[in-house]
Amino acid sequence: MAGKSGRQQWHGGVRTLAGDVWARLKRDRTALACLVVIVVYCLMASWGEWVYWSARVQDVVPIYQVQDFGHRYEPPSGAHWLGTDALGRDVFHRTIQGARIAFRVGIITSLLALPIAMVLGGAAGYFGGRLDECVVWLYSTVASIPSLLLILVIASVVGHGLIGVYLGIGLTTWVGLCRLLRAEFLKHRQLQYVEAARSLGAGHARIIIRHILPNLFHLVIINFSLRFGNAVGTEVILSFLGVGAEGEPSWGIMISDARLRLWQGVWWELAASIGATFFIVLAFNVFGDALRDAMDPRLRMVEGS
Amino acid sequence: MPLLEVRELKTHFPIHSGVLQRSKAAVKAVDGVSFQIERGETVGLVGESGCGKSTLGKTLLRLIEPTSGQIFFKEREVTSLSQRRLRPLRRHMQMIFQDPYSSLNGRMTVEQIVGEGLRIHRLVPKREVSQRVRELLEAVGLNEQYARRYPHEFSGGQRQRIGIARSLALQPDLIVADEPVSALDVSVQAQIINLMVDLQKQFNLTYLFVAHDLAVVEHISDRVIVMYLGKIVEQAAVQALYSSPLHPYTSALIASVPSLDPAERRRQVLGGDVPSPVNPPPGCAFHTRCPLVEDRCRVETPPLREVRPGHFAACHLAKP
Amino acid sequence: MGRESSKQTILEIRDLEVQFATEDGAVRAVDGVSLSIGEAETLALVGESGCGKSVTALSIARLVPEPPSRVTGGSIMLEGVNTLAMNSRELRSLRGAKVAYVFQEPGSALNPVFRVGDQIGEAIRLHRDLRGGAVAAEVLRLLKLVGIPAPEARMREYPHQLSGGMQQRVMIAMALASRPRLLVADEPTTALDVTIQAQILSLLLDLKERLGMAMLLITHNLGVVAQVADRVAVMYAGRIVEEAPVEALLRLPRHPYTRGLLDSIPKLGLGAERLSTIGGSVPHPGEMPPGCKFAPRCSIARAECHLAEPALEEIEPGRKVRCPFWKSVS
Repeated sequence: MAGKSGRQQWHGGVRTLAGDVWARLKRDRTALACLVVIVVYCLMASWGEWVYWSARVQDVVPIYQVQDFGHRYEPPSGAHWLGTDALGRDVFHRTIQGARIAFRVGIITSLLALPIAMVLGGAAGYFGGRLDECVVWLYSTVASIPSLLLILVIASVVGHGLIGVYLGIGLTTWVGLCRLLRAEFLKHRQLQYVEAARSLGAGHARIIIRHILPNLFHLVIINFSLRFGNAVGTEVILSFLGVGAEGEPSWGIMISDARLRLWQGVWWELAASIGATFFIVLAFNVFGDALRDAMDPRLRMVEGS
Repeated sequence: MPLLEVRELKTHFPIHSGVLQRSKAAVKAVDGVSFQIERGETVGLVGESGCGKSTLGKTLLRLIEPTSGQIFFKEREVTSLSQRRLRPLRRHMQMIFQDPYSSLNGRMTVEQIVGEGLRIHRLVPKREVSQRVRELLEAVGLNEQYARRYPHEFSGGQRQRIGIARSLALQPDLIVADEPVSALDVSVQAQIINLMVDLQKQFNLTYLFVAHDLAVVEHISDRVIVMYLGKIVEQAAVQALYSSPLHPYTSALIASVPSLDPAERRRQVLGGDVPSPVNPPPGCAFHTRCPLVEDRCRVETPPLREVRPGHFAACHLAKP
Repeated sequence: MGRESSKQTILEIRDLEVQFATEDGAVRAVDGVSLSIGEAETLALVGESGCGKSVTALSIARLVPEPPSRVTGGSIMLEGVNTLAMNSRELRSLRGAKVAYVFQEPGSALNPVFRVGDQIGEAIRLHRDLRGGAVAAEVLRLLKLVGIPAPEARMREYPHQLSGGMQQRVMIAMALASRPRLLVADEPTTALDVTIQAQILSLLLDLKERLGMAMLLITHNLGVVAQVADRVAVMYAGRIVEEAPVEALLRLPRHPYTRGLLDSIPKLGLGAERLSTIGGSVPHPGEMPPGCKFAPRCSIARAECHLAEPALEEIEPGRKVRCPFWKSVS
């Protein structure tokens, strides 16, 4: 039928979706800067893991826990790039460990929340009926409780430092994606390509996994990027409040420790931990938005088909 | 025994309302339809939007569940089968869809799309799937090198060929084509119609061709069924139906097709709109728009009767 | 019905060129289109998707989003004023006043939260000096004019309460509210059923005679063209390939593309005769062939067709063809 908008339906050379997205991202300088920030943090976190595990394997006190009462509150210098804290520990190494904890939080909570959202949202949207009603009831209930309160409750019930944080954040942050996926499944199950798969004799599992999910996976990726930043921020707040990390240098604990000394002119620990938190949360949020622009099929419609 | 026999088929969609979600009314999309399709023939199914023709087509494949009635396909009753028992039967009845854009999964290559049925039903050994896909692409007039590409690289006509190849892969007996050319440009339309005619001969296919374009239906069909508000109003061999329609609705449909001759402007036009399928008018559902309406049409529902040999019409006034 | 020079020219498009920025660079959607419409005349612009007919029509009131599009050449004179030179304020006062549009999907062109009477009233207040009761009276008159039964009741209804045919009548009433000099109907019946399409076509014919309005009809359906148009311009790949009075074009097409289009339409009463087709497909706008754009699909193409693009030549008064071999088209 003649295109209403008069836009042509031409088609260029072979181009994969990932290539397409990358081509678009490449043109967005802010997104690229954020990606660089994320990669740097990722390297920091990996290095942090290596330090953490090698100390445990060798059964020595890790470098970021080494106390030196002779060198308390030292400002940044060649020996301590970011100075030392109240116990004479190296702030730079503690900040690196903060990145390790932040990435653990981001990844582990995503591993909990994303599958919950995908399974519940997909099943509710695809099958509908009673199951859908139950899922909608469940996420409406979770969403109606203030999330920080719920996380605090879960974290304080489970206790044990970071495990409580993982569970608290992981079990409460699936609602947004779940709601989105449910609505999208509801729409996609009525599209002709799904009808076509059914008429070929494809079963439900095949339709959900092979057909619908690949069409919606960009939503999961975008959500991953956006929620990663938020999870890191939440962990910092929880640790700051004292229900998060115990005895480990989370940025929240560093902020909590350092804030009392600020008036004495000890700014480096607070600056390092707040700065570290700020840039990674910002980078993930901006990058998530850029990903959405690059992946959103509605934008592709305008230019492509 | 015909390839497909439908008896008193009804597909109603309940309209839920109120707190308790009780269904008070229903859209009577298909409301008591009976017909047969013989092997090898093409039956055209025409009517305006909302007449239930697409719903009927999808109900036959049980993509939509029927409310009541029976469907016999290859002498087996289809409506009572569980989805699991239905699956092996699916491969013998396939569908070609209207929209060449939304009917192909954009995240799959042409080979995955066309080969999916072969994999599901394990019709050929795995390593032969790609060879078979290439043969199918050739059969529908596409270059076999297209197998590795994604649908968004193709034009509407090429996509529709991919859709046809997908349904052919399972070597079906019956293909329900739901408005297969109405989304295509005129010149491409002709290519696809010719292709469907060729494939029918080559693979001995039976078509149920659902469309609103009367000229296209006349061109491709052996027999034609006309639907109005969920019911069959007329059914006959193609020449009989077009040259001497018995139902006033069929006559109006044919007269409404804009003629290519500018001298034939301003045809007599059927007034009014199609009434809602939730509350179809009593008696003959067409009486609100019928130019020949009589008193009994408003109360008495006309049955579909054989007015002339092989020519059925649901009109009190139809005479042999 | 052909061209009568005594009549005033309402629209005159000359050498219009519109480009679209795509990821693969700029492509020309409209390439040197010239056409004119006189008073009380209906010109049909015919072609398949992507031929540039809608872009041409939308360019008149500059309704094509810029970017990605850009008018790179030509002029559009509407009653002697070049719309391409207008600023955005002038364009706003042009749209809906001198030129009004009717689109394919009446359902999405009407605002679902306002009553149809109010929407038509809004259009009247915007473009004419009517207020209060006079507006309501004018709404009623317009609804009657477009053949809506029981207009007093209908004007209080919301768009979703109306059928597709009634919605399209409301759209036409809205377009007429400002008494435009030019009505642009972009596939006005494509989304409608056959019987409703026939109703709308006879309404358009009726209005044309009663109001003496100039009309530009965009369609891919040659049956619709035969029913409503006085003259036809056929577009292919952003160019006009043939222009002629409607009877002449349908009786004896002179361009091989027009011929191919006409032959590929299934016609009532012809039975199961095999349809003739145009081989191949429309060229990608980024990869236009150098010579005649239709040459790769043309059955009578010769070697020179692939080298240089032929000009649009006047072969008889009121009849132009972009094919030097038009005599061999039969």
